[in-house]
Amino acid sequence: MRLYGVTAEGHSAVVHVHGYDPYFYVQAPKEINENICQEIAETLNRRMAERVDSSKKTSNGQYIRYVEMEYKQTIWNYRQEDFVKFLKISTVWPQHVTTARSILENGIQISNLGTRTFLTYESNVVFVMRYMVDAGIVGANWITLPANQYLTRSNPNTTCQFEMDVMWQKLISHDPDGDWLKIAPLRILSFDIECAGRKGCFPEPDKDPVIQIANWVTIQGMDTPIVKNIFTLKSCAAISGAEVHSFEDESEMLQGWRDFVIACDPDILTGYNIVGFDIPYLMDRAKALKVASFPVLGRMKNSKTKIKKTTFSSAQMGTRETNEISIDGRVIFDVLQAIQREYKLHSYTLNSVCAKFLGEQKEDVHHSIISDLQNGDAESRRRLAVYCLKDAYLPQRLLDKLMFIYNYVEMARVTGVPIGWLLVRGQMLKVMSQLLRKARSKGLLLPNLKVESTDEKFEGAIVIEPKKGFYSDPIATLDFASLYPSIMMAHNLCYSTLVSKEDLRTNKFNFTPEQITVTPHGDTFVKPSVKKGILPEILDELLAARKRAKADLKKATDPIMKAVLDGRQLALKVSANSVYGFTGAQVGKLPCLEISSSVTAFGREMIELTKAKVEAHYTVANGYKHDSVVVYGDTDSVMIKFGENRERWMIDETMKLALSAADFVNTSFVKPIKLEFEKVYYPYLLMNKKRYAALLWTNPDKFDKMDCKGIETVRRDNCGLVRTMVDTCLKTILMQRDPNAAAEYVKGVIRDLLMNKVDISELIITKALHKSEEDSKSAQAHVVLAARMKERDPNTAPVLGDRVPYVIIKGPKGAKAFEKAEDPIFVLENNLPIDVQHYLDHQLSQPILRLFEPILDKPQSLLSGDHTRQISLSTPTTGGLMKFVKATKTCLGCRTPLKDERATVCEHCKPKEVLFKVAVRSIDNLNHMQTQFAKLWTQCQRCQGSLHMEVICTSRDCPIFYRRRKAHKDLIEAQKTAERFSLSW
Amino acid sequence: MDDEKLLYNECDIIFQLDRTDIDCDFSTKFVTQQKSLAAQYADVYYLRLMTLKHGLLDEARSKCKVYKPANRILDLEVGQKSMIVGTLLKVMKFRPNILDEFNKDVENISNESFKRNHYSSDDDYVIMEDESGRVNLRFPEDNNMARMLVTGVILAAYGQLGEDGTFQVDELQNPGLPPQIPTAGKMEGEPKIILVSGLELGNPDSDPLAVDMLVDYITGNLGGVETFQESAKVAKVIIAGSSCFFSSENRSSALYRKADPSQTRANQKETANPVRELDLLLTRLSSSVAVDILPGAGDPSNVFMPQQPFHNCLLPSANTYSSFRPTTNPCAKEEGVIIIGTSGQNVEDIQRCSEVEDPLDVMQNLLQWRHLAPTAPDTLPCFPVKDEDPFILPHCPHIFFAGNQKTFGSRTIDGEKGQKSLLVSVPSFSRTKTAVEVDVRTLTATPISFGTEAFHQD
Repeated sequence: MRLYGVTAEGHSAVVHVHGYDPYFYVQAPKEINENICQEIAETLNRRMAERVDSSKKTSNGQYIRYVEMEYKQTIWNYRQEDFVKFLKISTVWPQHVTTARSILENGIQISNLGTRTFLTYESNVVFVMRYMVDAGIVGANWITLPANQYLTRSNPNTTCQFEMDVMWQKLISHDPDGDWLKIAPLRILSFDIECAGRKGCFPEPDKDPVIQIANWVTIQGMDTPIVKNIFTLKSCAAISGAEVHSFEDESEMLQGWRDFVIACDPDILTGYNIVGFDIPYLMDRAKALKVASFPVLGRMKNSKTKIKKTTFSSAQMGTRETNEISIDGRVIFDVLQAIQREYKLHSYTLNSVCAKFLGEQKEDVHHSIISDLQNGDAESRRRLAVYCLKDAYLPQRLLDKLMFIYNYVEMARVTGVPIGWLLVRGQMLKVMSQLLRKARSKGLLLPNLKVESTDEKFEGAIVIEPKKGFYSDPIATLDFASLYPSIMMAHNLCYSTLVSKEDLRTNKFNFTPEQITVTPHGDTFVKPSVKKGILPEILDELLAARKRAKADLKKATDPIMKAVLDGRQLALKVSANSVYGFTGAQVGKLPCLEISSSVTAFGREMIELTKAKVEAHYTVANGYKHDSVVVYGDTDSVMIKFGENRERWMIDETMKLALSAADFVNTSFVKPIKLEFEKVYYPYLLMNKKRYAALLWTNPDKFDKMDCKGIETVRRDNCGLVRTMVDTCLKTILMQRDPNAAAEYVKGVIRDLLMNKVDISELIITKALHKSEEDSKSAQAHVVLAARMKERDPNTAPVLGDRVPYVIIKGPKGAKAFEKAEDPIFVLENNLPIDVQHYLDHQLSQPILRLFEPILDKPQSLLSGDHTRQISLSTPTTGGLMKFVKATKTCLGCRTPLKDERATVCEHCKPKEVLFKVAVRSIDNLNHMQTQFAKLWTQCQRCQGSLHMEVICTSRDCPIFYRRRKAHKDLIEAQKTAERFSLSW
Repeated sequence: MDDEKLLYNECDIIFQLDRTDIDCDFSTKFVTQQKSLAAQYADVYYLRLMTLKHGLLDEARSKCKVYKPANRILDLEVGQKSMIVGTLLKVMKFRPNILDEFNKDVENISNESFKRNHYSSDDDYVIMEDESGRVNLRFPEDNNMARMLVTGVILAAYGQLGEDGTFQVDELQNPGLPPQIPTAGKMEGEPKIILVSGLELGNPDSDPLAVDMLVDYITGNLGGVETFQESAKVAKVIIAGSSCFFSSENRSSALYRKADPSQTRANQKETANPVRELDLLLTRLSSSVAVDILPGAGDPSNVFMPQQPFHNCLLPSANTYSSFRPTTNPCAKEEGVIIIGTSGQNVEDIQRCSEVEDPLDVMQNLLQWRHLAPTAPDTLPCFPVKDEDPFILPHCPHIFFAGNQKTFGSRTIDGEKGQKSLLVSVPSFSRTKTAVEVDVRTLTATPISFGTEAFHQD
């Protein structure tokens, strides 16, 4: 086994660890003795030799190192007896554990005892974790090799600066505390590649060359990069501040980059979507070009980078396909993966992520232009190189801005998992790691239970039926702090405290009622006085550590230390919350539905109890001004209205009442369960379950922010108009407390929509084009459209993986929705009419109804009425009847068709008065267009980072893109109109 | 219609004033011929750089031996004392970003930059860029050069490239005053030009009496014989922009998502009044004296600089006089003395983007930068020209004015090659009730106030 790392001085190091053998346990038969151990070892070894695949065959035919007796106890169910005998079975290779396990589970013949089957313990623990648990090492840990206890290799196998051999027990692992809290000076390489695709196709590695690779190397904790360079195919003009390495031959360039990676020796490889695209592409391309040594990117000499396609699924993330890439000794930290994990966003393109987190738009160069730039000269390739460098730089900025390194290092330390696993594996592993550590210290073993899917319906958290409405009184919110962890702690819920049904029936332990807790779900757990559970202990420690971290955070002054501590407290919180999920995951490592169901049952009971107590106590009868009402309750919070709207209810009064209510209710809960008063919502718009919006107050003087739950502003298949509308409505309702103004505003939006006054960029819906969909030719709007666009112009048509933006246009009567999708640019250029009714019915109406249901008696009235009567459509310039239409100039004053094509106005409008007005109007219009045009284009000129080069960005995610197009077109129109007055501008 | 115009002298019969005449043929320098929008703003910068770069390089070569002229920013070598020419880009955090208008968050609206009209701040930094690349400029600590600079100016920087990739500037060199064409011969009499700006007809706060007195003064209807004689010397009136005023509500037709569809019609009515008033005023003036009018901010003309002349149909009555000439903004007159002037948007924009406040300083800088509107297109809308940057000054004007300033001011500057130029800051009439009288022969400027509370003529 090898440990990779860096020294405090920043030198890379590898430690070869020796003497650690893989092992697992089985419960020993009662009759066990030395001889039987020996016999089991031999039998198992023999059976193994028959069973293992050729790839796992050892040369000497030895598979089992030893079988030993140890005294241990299972974590499963409460037991009174002391430690019992277990067999520790150690294998030669980690891969042998699975084979040995299945042999033992199926039963082996033992003389005198007959065939026995065994339940195995901890046989599903990954070897690396096994080692880390035993050696007390956590992820991102500092380790000391004591002097004279290690050997330095004279003949290194790796490219690290230090290479040592050591016995596994000799390492000293330091708890991340005090001086050992600091983060190692990790070397981070952020890179991005550009490929020259053929026209109309997404680049394919066996055909299309890699043309540039930009690199940005930084040391964790330092502001300025140590290396900025770019590898280019063919010459490239110099770039200030970055080295340019040009190659005439692509194989040489790939080879050059590989050599660079080895020489630069980064600990972390990062970039945007490098796992999904850049690394696999480079690997495949190197293979196509037969650059044999390219895949050796890791620190082990001769060890090739491996890519495995996997489907990754977890309760938190859902199922998605990813590549599992392993490069020896380097962590692959794909910023895209991290952001997908941590944030729920409308779009995950680098552009929109940057817009969101860095507040800047990113230039986006279309594939077709990339090839053109590459085929130009050294200057045009330089242009591309600058763009490519920026793409390598942005992931680094995101890494810094979002504190990913700090947060992930701390998460690795808290949960004890190597940092590289955090991005690619689920929550489960982290809990497992902690559980193993804790269990080990207690001599407890985790059984590897066969997963049985139960039919038991899992009852979720309770939701008190919301009393929908718009509350213009302050609503106090009481929250249970860390609800599920505190329930588990309060009631001592654990594997090791669960009394089995069997034991209860036989009354094996003779419990008195004081000794046990029967949960609302009907399961029995012993009280801490009998035996303290492991899970509560883990949680206890996590929450105590979090408290400490928060206290330290308050004291800390150094911004970096603050970042570390904040990352730590966050990691601790997330870890504590995931313990509950671990016990409830039915296909998990160690599910225990008794625990998870009991937790939720307790939660439900507590919410109901809170409601009952508050409503019974805070009444007029008890001397309060009003009867209190719980308007809504969800999982871990209760919303209470203490007052009626008869007089002006002050926020601070509500806060006082809420504080006292929290104390009052808390008396009936077991510690550490605690109901806390956190915030007041005022005003409060309660739309439905898990769907509300309010202003949040934590002090009576000023509200903190607008808090929205479950409101569809982030759904991707909504157009921008819906988002802006919902947003503005909420602000009008909550901040100006003027629901009528919001209703008027909505009417205005509908009117504008019907009058064709809404900017097209606000009507765009985007969907990604996936492989399966293209193949199946399924009738989805964006798929059909992509095919159509390909017919028009294969160069600019969206290719696989692209997001396809579209708008819905008016189609022939009875046309299917998917037939009416159209490319926004095509729509702009041809003046195609938008199907405004579709937008009204399918995009706007639902959110409007939901939003106004609690406010208006008849929210439907917003969708019809005066403001929906006027409809204006643009006249298309192509298609349908337009082929037979001859455009006639009309009078600018009254739109009467003109006989004289050169005239500006008709005879009736000729009088100076009218002409004059018409002229002023057209000038005003022209001015507006000119202002827009100038603002938009100068912004793009600034954004792209050069004044002297043309803007080539076609980022469709950028709100400017379509407006820019439109401004251009509108200005030309306005100019034409103005010219009819023979104006010279 | 031009052909039908009455000859200037023929219409000058009402008062029989013996007007001193100077030739007044404003050139077509700022008339935008191009209609196509195919070009991008990059071309504007490129043209500008190409036009001004060589002069600067040549000058530097002849002048200074210590610094090695670099042809391109990319050719700069670390540690080498060099001279480099490029376009400046000032990165201002308060420069409005149109993206913010789209992300209309409440947080954003309360954001400082949203309301702020002054973009320059201490956090700004300056980048120099040429066609090859860009480099950050660092100025000596005690020097506030950076505060005076704006985007779009072409300068030469002397200094050296540091290890960190920034260019440490020792000195900046601007192109300097352009060469001047000498005035053609001696001028007869004392020709005077009246400069006035910011009449803001239609502004409820402005004083109609003052405007009336101004017109009376020019037409010789004010005061006694002395005044009458003074008036007679006025050869020309130049109205430098912002002649009309529209309340902000009336301009909102373009605003996004306005609920009331009847709004636009009401607008037209409103718009008509100030322009109609202006037409009457111009008719009165033109009947007596030659009048040039520049469009300016708020006037019914295009927004893009250069603004094009008022259209015939807007000022139908004044247009019947050949003495009336709507001109472009900026305007230029290139015979006899050369007069160049603007309605002030260029100056105002530079004040906004830098820490230079005095309009005369700004104007002096403009002449030395040889450019009338460097901040176009960045913060001042302009046409994306592709053949020539019209704002480049090939010749140094004898009179250079900017309208709509806060106060009156004038300054005479002398160039190294004998250039002499009068800078005039023409105050906004509606705010100051002051016009400016310029003596073309002596190149002096005098303010004339028509304040009703303290009237004096000086």
